[in-house]
Amino acid sequence: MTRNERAPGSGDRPPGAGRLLIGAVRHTGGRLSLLIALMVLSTAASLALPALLAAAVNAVLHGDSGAAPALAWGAVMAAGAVCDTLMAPLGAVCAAQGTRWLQQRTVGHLLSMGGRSPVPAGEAVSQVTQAAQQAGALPVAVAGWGVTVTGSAAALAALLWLDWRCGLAFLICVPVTVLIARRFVGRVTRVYGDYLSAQSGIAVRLLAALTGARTIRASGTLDRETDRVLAPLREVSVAGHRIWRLQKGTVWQFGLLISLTEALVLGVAGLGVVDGRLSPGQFVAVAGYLQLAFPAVQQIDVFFTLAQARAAAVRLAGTFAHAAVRYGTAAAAPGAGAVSFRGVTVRAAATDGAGGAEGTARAAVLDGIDLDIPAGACVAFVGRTASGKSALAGLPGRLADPDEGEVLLDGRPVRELAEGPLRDAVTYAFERPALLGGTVREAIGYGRPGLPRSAVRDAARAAAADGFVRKLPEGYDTPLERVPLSGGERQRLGLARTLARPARVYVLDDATSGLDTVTEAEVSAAVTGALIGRTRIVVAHRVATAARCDRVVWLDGGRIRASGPHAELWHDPAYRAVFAADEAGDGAGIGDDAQAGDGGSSGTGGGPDGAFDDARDAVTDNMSDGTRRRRYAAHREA
Amino acid sequence: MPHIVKRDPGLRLLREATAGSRRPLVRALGWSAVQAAPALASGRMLATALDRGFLAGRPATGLLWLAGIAALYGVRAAAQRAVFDPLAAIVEPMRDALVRRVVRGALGRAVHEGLPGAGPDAAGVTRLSSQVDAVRGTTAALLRTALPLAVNLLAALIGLASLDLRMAVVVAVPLLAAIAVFVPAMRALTRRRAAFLLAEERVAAATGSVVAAARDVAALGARDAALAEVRVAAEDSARAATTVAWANALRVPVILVGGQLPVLGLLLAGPSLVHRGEVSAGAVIGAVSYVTAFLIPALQQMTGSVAGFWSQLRVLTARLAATSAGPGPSGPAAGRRPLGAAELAVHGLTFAYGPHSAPVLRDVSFTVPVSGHLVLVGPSGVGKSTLAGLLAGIGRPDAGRVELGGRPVAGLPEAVRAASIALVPQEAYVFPGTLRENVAYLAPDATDAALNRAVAAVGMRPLLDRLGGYDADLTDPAGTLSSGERQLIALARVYASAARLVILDEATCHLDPAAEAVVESAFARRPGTLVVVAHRLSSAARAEHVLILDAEGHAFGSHGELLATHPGYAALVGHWDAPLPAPVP
Repeated sequence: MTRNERAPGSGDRPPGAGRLLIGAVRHTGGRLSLLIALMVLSTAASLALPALLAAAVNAVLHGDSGAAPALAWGAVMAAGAVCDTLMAPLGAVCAAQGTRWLQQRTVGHLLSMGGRSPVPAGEAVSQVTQAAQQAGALPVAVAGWGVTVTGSAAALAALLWLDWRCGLAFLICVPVTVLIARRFVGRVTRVYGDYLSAQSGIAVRLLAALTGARTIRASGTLDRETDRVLAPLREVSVAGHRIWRLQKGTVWQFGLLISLTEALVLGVAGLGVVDGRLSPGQFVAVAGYLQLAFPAVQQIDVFFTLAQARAAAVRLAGTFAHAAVRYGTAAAAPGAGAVSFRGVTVRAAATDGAGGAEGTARAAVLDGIDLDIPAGACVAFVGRTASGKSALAGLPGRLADPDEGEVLLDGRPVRELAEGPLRDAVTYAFERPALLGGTVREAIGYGRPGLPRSAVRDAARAAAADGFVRKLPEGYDTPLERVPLSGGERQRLGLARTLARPARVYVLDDATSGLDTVTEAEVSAAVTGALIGRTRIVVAHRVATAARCDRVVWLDGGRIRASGPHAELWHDPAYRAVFAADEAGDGAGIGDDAQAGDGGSSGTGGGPDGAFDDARDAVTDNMSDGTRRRRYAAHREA
Repeated sequence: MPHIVKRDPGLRLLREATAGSRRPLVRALGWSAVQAAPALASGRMLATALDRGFLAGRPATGLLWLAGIAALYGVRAAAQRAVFDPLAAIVEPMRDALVRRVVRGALGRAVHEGLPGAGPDAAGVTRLSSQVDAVRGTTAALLRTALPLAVNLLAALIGLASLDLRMAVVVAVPLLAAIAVFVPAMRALTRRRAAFLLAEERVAAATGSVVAAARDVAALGARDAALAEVRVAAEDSARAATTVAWANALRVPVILVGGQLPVLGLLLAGPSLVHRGEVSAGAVIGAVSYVTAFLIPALQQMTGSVAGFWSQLRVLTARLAATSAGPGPSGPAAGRRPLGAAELAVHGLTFAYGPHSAPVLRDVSFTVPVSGHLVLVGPSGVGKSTLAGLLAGIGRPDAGRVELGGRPVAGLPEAVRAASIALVPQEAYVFPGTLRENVAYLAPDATDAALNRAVAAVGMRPLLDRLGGYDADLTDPAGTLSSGERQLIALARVYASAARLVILDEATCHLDPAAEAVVESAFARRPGTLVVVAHRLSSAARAEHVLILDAEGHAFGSHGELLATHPGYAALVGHWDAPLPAPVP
């Protein structure tokens, strides 16, 4: 069974751009049809107006006191205005509904991929905010464009019908306008590129300076830094002035061309009046149809908009091409959290994306792992970077699925479990938890509405987070965005969030790596107390963490090299070298999974060698944490 | 309703940014007036072309007058071309002023209000620069459309009045009434647009946080909660978009009343006027053309793009004013004379992050003699960096004081403080520029010999050689140098400075223990007082004085004293009175 093979009975393919757009249209709830009807009515009214105006003007010139033509003009005008008034909000509602539907579908799909989404977060945000908006507005834009162009074509037809010479005079100007516009767009794009790159020079310098805020503050060099950041402003200004010169050279040409076309057409029409081909009223009608025909010329940029919106839909469809996790339908088997791995093999992701698993020899991340973890046990996974320990830990909760083999929870394959039962049974704490929710309290109780305050507090206490949370300006109600969390504090909140959920199996994936050894010992003891009798899988970089578990599974190159109590394994120099290599590291290259790669954001914490982590700690940490904790407490009281 | 368009800090920002643009503004207005030439005369000339030319059977005369109109269009095109110079002279300096303000504000806030650990916000920086550019674009568009529009309205009315006063009244009354209704209604539009902008930002924020946490959401089974966050934001945004559209729909009746109604008036009044011979047929057509060719397009522009630009500008500038406000420039950095080596004394120092939060530091007191060497130890999160900042004089304690040579550091003039005390934080700041600019950052006049001494002292020589000397250009230090290499540069920089109190706040955490020992002993030999926030315990053994901070409080003494008397310190160091039961590695 390969990773890309989906559960049976799932015949539906991911939606393409077309189906997404159709879906967006369907979710406008019939308003789009109403909108198109209004657009047609409004266009028809505006086409009738010059003819009615001609009749009214002729009536004026003949001294006819009959107000009928003028009133007819007024009535049609008013009807058109009513249509126009309703059109804009209706269009906005249609676009907004389509957009909202696309946004929710996209986010829903991104989340249904679990942690496996290959779409970077930045791209996902711009898909939801920009692409969904452009694609959501497409149906309305297409309708509007179609109606406008039809209207302009009809106006041109009317012009030709009134006097073919006038129509011809108008048509002369069209190619020239298109030429000017294309030349201008080409040039301005280039110059604007220069402008943007000069501008991003400032942004880059500013970002760099922001990372040094503390140094700048201490050095009192704010003014100097400000000048340094602003140095590229001169280039920005130069490029800016070039854009202005370009506009100066082009914009007047458009205006003049349209005006001259108008004068030319009116001249032709005037001659028509002299020749008796046209009545004075029809002269006015020519002027009116001319105004209606111009938009067709100005619709060039609409093609650009349409292409952009279409591209946006294709971009969204790209996200839907990545398959979501498919859950089974079964409830969890009765049990207390025994986890078994049967012949589990995981291969590195294929470079060509979803398809093509056949034939290509992908490197094995995990290679034929067989392992049984009894219910209630505490097992450490250790190994060097890229040994596969995080990959293995991710399998019971289906953060990834094996390419071969099966993972069982209390005897039932995890693939067969429905989403709810699986999440209730297996939960995770991560090295770099992403915290969600408005406040610290909401972050700990995330996804568990109605969790009592005392439960939040107990979880925080067990994760040794209660102390620093209470020092925050508003304690548990402090907004997360106002809390400058160190890596260790973030980890402790993430751990508290995990401890606040009852589960059979707790996977702690390097969840305490950012803590100093004393705090870590405290946290470990509290976690042991809180999770007594629950199965724990602990991915560990530290000797102390591994030493506290009942059993250690030592992974090397995707296979289990040895397994047993830490004290036994410790006799093997190769086993000791696993930790030596990691702890001598300088903060880079930790973690053997994808999340470790970002590392860009804050800076503190996150490294495997938290403060005071040296060989001596490793040794002392080897005693049971109960003893250690009692000792520390006794020392403090002394 | 959001309050971002209240009280107009945005307009004040705009005024400040365009101060000094009075002359180009007058020139732009002048050229806009010239642009109105066709609006003023073309209707009248069209009337003449018809009356004396085409309707009188003299096509040559008619064509001549039409050629006159074309000439006016030529004038307008020339004016359109000329107006770009003054526009550039208004908008470009305005952008420069805004960028300066935004950069100064962002940097100033980060420097003066940033808490240790708060990282830079790349999205925020990008948003700021795109907002500045949007203000530039909108202002330019507004000046280009609004100025000619106002002049056109006026000119067309004057031209119409010159044809016939009664027809002008028929047109002007509904027109002015419509404008009078529309202008105040624009406030609502601006407010709704602001709400929409905020709603969109919330969608982006909700999506960003939820998607970035997809793994956590899956592992916690919290998909419904996460989706609900986005759904609420998306629905708000959709509602706000609809509200904006309804506010926009007001323009249609405004155009109907202000533009189309006058045409109907002319058509109804026309027959009797022509019949009585008071107005020529050409004049009626000319009047209609004034309304249809100038007044209605002007109204459409005013209620459409101009109103849109204006409300967008208001919203943008209000946002910018709110996000770019920052402390003003600090005093001149010139003429800084550092204090000499002095005793560091701390009395009853207390600090909390907020009025309701438990204090991080409580009543901390100790004294380090002249040229002493102090090491600060304690578990993570206990407040070591906070104390380091207070010692450096870059934070305000809630109680107590830090004195250097008997003078409170909080009271030192900024330039003196900065020259006398150097703080090296954990995250070394190496900026894009030459290596010399970076190393001589705190001693701009230092000779190469002085820099060489600093480089050799901290063990940076191999790095200097590898980079190829002081003139090596570091275009992307964060990408090309390791964390440890950047720390070495920051350390050499401080070593070369004149500071007599040096505070290393885990400044060697990315160096290996041997390199760290080299750095610490170099700084210990350097004249002045040294404070080290320890990353490894080996630091403590090297110092004469140790301050331990933990959840219980603090203690001060030598390494040996604390080991013997302070159980918490002993626990931290890992020296236990009992024999170690562990297997020997």
